[in-house]
Amino acid sequence: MTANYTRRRMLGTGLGAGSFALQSLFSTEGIASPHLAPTAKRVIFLFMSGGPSQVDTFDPKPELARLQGKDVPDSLAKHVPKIKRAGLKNLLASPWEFSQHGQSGIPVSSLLPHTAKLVDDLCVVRSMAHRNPVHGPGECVAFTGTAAGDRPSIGSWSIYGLGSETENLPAFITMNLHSDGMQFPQAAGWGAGFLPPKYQGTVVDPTKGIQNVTMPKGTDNSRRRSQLSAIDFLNRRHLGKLGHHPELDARIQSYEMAFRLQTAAPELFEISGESKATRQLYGLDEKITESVGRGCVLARRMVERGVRFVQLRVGGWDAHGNIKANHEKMAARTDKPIAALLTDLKQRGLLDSTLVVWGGEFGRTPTMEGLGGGRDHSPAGYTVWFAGGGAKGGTIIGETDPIGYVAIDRPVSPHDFHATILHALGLKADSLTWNHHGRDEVPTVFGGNAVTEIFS
Amino acid sequence: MFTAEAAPVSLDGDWKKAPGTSELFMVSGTGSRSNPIRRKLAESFSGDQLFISYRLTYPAASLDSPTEGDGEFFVMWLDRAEGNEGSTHSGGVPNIGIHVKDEIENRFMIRYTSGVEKHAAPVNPDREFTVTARLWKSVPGEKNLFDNLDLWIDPKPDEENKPHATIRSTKSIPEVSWIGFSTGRKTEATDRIQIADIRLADTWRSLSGLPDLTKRYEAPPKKPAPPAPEIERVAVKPPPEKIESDHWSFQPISRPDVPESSDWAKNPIDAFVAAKHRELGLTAAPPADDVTFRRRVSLVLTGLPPTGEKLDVEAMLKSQEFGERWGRHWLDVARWAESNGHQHNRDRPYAWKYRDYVVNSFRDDKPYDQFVREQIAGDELEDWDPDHLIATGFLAAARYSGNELDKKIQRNDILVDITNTTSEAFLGLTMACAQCHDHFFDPITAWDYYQMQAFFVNGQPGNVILDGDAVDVVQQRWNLFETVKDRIETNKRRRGDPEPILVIPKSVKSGMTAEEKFHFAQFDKQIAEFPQTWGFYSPSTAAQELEIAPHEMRWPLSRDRDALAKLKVSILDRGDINAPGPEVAPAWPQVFGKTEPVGNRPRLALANWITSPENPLTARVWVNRIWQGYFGNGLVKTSGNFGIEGTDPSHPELLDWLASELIASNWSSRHIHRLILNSATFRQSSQFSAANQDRDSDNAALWRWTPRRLESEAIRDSILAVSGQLDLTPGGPSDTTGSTRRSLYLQQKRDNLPHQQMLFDSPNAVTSCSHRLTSTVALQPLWMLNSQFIQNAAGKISAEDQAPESLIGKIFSRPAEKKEIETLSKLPPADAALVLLNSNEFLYIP
Repeated sequence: MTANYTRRRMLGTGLGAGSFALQSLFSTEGIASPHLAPTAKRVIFLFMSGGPSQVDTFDPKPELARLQGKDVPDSLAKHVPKIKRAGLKNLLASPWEFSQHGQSGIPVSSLLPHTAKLVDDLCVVRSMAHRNPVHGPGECVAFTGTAAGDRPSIGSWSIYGLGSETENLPAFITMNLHSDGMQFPQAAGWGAGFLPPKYQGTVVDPTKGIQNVTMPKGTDNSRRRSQLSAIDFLNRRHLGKLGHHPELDARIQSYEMAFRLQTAAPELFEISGESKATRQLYGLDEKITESVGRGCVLARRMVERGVRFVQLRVGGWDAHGNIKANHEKMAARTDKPIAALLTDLKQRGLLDSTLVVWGGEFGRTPTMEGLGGGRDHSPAGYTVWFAGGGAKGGTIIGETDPIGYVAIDRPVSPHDFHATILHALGLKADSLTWNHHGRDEVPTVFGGNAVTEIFS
Repeated sequence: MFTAEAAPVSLDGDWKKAPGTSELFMVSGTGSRSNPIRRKLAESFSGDQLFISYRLTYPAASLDSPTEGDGEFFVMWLDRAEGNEGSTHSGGVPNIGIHVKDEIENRFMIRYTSGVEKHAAPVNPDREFTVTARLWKSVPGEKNLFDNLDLWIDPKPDEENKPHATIRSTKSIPEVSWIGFSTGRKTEATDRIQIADIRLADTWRSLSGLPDLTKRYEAPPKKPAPPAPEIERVAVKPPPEKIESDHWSFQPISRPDVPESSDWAKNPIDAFVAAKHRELGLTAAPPADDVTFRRRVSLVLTGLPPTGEKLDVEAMLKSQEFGERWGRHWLDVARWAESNGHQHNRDRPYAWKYRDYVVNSFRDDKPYDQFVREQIAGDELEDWDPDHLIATGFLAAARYSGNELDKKIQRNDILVDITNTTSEAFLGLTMACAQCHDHFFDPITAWDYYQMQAFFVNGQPGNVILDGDAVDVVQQRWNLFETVKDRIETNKRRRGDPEPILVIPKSVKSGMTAEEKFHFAQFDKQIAEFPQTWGFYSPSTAAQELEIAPHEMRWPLSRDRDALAKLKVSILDRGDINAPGPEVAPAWPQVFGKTEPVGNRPRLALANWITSPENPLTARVWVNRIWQGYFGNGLVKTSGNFGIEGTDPSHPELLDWLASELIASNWSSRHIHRLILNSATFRQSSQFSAANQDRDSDNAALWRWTPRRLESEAIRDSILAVSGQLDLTPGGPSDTTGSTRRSLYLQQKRDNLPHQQMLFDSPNAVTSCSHRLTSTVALQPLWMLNSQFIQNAAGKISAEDQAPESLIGKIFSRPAEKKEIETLSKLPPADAALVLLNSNEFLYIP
């Protein structure tokens, strides 16, 4: 207990709350110099909600074909943690063939032909593991580290740590796509928890842009300017009588920022100027890829314009009924646009400084659920990948058991995962603190260590 | 050859045989459709399921190959009518037999209609096969159809739920009166098909002559659970004999002497504040002018800009609008919302009653100790009052997942939420840390934490029915639900779904027959007519026996009252529900002394301890919350944490003096409000002083008024008020869209509040919020400038008043100044109104 006490107290000396309490969301200043040499300046988190199946994408398990229809062998079953829905009957082989790709020879299933071509840029982590098999809490775990969803999201911690690169756009933007079905986006995923609300993500509909950014009919820039100067006049008079009130200073500035946002946001969302080649690359003109394609091209445009943390949540991976039909549809929606994003970032020289992360709240069982050829939720061993931002491409980290059920080598917890993202940004998860209720809180509440071997 | 002993379905009656059919079961064809043997059942069968089995041998000499264009057809049929020798028993009639598949081979098959067949094993010559089928109703009932047909060829004894082929049909028969066999065009006169041992039965076991089991479907025995993965464990230490603390807030509340008064001081509050001023060398700001003060009091007390000329503080303190504003402050602490939270976030349609209870309690100055008791132990109070149950909405506001299959986790989430919220709300203790380990800083042990949980363990949230006898209709509703649920589970099991078979309420409802759906809707309608509330109820410790109405969610809480009564709390190692340690009994934290026996009303005992005048925290925490409602910060800045990590009080004697006043006034919050309202401290203007600023930069010693931004609700309500749109209708169910009532009455969906509320920092009701933060982001001006809401309001204001003077009068509630008029007259009136609504003067408490 004494040791813990000291540790927490020591951590508190890193970054205090007071020093930047008035710093605005759009400020260009970082709150402090990074703890480490960063390998990435920004992050794009491609969150595959519902839980893509590891054994049908990046974690080939030939044993499943041999054991098709059989129960999980006792020798493996005894290591499967006691989690609800962790079925041990009726193993199901992957309907897809795996083959090796690229220089690195990383195997990818035929489900993801576009991503497969880029394996030399991917660091595939096959040993993610936690214990929460339910979507809502699982998603909270994936973004905040705990199931309750009351702590700050990883995006919030990131911009709290680094501030913004732009004065014209929010530092943390999240887009929710294909939120059909039962897996509603969890607000905790972009929530600021106990951090000040300015660190929360701004939710954006990719087809509509930022809410209320359009001036009402009949108001043009010059009319808006005269409104703003009258507001400024009144606010400065008001502040003059008070003498000193930093929050009111900040509010006066926020009107200028809003004005800039009004110009910058429509420009960001106006993608008609993208070249024909780009449109084709992302599949913007094909019905199946249109939505995720737009999200991905916007993600690129956001990071180009200095947005620090971009989150793209694609719902629909919850393949209970039929893994084949579900994952074929989801792969058709996402594979091409995501590969396009990596390719595009690379050709624009942005991939080196942008960490792209792909994964869901958990994976899926190697056993069949019901009779329709579906798979149930499974958090005990699943796959995510990192690309760009210093991640070592063409590598595989961690291993699951012979049927892909449980991570058996180099297990990576969601806290480790968060620490890894922060590590890329030059932030140490145990030194980034916020004093809440008198306690110095850190991003990884149960302890988490960056998977440093991901970075070269 | 034919045995009927084991089969309760009677096969009595004579076979009718076509010429050429030998003594039972040697069948030949005619080259066209023929029914060589048929018989009537002694009694028609319309039960739930009918098993049929016969043995079949097709001699090599008789069996033609389909590849030679000469495949076979031979079936048993089950029908309502006999037909005649040439009849076709097809088109909704179950057939079990042989047919050609894909023009390649003869296979066993089942069908209802020709052309739609499901196949099993191939038919080999000269080999005896046991053909077994099950004809069953997915909805049992005499008139319902046999819509499912399963087939086994040479079944193994354990294959009851693993048919080799299954088929369903919406066109079928409701009863079987006749069975028979049909041969087809390809069955030649020289064929000799051998049929033996025809059996009918209504269970799988009796079909094979085994004694029936009392329980028809036995879930497979559970395998011993695999060992839990190794996790490093920290043993939970038993508590020490005695825990003591010299922390200030754990000491008894004192009654400090009021310091020597000064000219400035108007009441004892000021005397304490002035003493601090003297100590730090500060000078109080001059009093605020009447116009400013009127606006301040109105916004602080009601959250609305002032109306009328006169300021009637006493009337305001008793107004509905006061209850609404101060009620909202409490709802933050109570993490109240109108939905479950988590992924599905199902609505709680009666949660609004607690909101109204809170509003009314503040409006009527309900003694705070009573307010606390009703919220913690409303169902345990002897004197019956529906409001007591409504008050338990405080506990019932706990968030939990309706999508949680693991009942242990679901219950634990509720207990954790309630324990954390209760201790923070009333005691200013953040116990959450002690869930996993002894508190690092406070003298609160993990033991204390789980003992605190134990007060709540036998109750749970639900729609508590407040009046009328709903027992029968609720029971009937659940009976119907369970009947259909059992049926669906049985059907799934028959189709071979692996265990555990899980059926969600939505599937139960969609699996009902039209008649069942009708009754079910009727039951729900009748139940909805009973007055009810979203409350917390413990059948084993409550004073009254109350019925609970159903609440929609995927995996609902258990309805088993006996099981609920037996629940105990165990210490959980690292908060892990799967690592239970010793059981504990209800007790408050040991640092506060020994717990009296709690008897059969555990929460009432807890409430009585919390509201005891000797409790060192309760009164301090509450007067501090009231203080925060005036000055933006409490005397203890961390108003939800009076523990060691919380901030020390800026004026400890004043805090104790106010706490003792609260207790002495029979816990009247209104008394504390009056003291503050009448103080010179509260009357100060916001005038800046560089000298004071140097000595006390945070204004902790209160040497001036610090203007602060209105909360989201007060911003919207004020805009509605000055634009003449505000609908002051109080209470009742929440509004969803297009409402112009106060924001308090907009539906509060947990974690998904109305956009404007999220934008201006309303708490998301996930955990108790003692102090809102104020953010300043560019998205706020965008809403304040461009939203439909603000444009509409600016248009409405300027439609009536065009002159800048009257716009300023209306929006700022004060006379206009010359320079302001000059500036605003350059703008169109709607723009001038928009500008005024956007100004800090409008949005800050002056």
